[in-house]
Amino acid sequence: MTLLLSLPYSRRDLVVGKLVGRSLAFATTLVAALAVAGALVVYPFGSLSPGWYLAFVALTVLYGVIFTGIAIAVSMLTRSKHLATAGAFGAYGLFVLIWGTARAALAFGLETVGLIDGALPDPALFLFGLNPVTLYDRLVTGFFVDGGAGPYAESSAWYLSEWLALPLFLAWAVVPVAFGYLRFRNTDL
Amino acid sequence: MAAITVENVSKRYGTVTALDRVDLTVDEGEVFGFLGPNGAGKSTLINVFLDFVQPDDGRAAIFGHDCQSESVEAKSRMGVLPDGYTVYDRLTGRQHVEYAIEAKEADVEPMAVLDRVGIRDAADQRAGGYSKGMAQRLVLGMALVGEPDLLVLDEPTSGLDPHGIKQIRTVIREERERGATVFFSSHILEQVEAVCDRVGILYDGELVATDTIEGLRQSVGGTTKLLITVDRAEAGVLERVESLAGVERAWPNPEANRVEVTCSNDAKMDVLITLNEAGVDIENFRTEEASLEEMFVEYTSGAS
Repeated sequence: MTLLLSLPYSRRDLVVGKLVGRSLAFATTLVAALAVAGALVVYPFGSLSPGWYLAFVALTVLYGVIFTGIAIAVSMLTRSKHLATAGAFGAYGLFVLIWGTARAALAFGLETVGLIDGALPDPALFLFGLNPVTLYDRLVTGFFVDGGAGPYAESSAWYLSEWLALPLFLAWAVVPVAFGYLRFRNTDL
Repeated sequence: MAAITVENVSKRYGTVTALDRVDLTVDEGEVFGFLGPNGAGKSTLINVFLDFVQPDDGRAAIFGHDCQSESVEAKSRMGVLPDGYTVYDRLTGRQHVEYAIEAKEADVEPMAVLDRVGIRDAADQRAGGYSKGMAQRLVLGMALVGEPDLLVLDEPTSGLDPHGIKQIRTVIREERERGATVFFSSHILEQVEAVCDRVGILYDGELVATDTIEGLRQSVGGTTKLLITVDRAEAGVLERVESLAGVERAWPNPEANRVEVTCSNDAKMDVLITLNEAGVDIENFRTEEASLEEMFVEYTSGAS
């Protein structure tokens, strides 16, 4: 990084470059894989709506961009490369493993003491639904699956709709990396 | 316009003062040696130039571009060999230089650059396998790309063998010929002495002296040591020598058959004439000028 920033590049160039570079790297792989998957659907079944399919690909790419952005944000907040790596994996572990478990545990607890019957109340669902992994799931279910199941699809609360999930999902792609940059801009290297 | 302007720059890390109200101007076309022991704050100031470090007070500018608010403009005038860099392990030497060429929008052949810093043969090896000295040469090469108006070299000779050090000197001279300003830091005095027009001595974050080498010599007393081999010398003669204007001290060194005198540069001839007139047979003599080392010690011990 010292070497890079000795050249006439700004710190913003560095952050944008990292985000774009890494995102492109995995987006290429992802798009190739999804193209094959798409072809396999078209061949036996004969139809695939290209518009919806492209939207799905875009959403999935964005999903990757979110985690790339989080990883970059974490690496900008720490000097240590090990901490940065641990932080990035930690964020993924938090959202993928711990988050779901915590939600299940809470639901189980509340049900055991008799406060709820089955699903969590809508406000709690909203909180748990802020996680990018859940958001992705909600978006896929909401937009691409006809008659999708699950607590979010079945709830009628407006703030649990996929239309609100979309801007929240977009915010995940922007906010962490922007926050990391603002901190990084003013730190001594 | 001045190549480097530093006005009242201070930087503290907790209770440690890395830079204490440093004022410095380096003119265009100058080779400026930035001297100081390790930990004096040399790299901190260079990091201020690069906007790696934000000063608590004061400002620094490169050709009038503020290092903090216009860092890209400032950096585009500079070629930098920074402190504490790491090369990209998986890229070759040639790719590193190509990268610098792209960044600086320069038009130069990568192999010509690598040739100049003496690692042409390693051009297509991955930089991860380079020795410290080779990496240092590579980064110097990257700094030279695009004929920058200002070269900033942080301890350029570290990790280099004597041959490499000589090459660095040649490069610095060539760059000066081209009209570039060179600012380089070192804790090794003779290297600075060999190529610099002017030096600044940084000690404990304070710039304790800025002058030409000659000027520094004079301000430290400008003493020259005369070592005169004689056939014999009586005490009376030495007293007479000591009474001369400009002579500091004269004393015999019987083991080496010598008389040793410390005096100002101008008094040398008077000393020799006085000895000769007193009937002392002068077989040989040589002078030892105050080395930068001694000056350095004087400045850095007197400052605290």
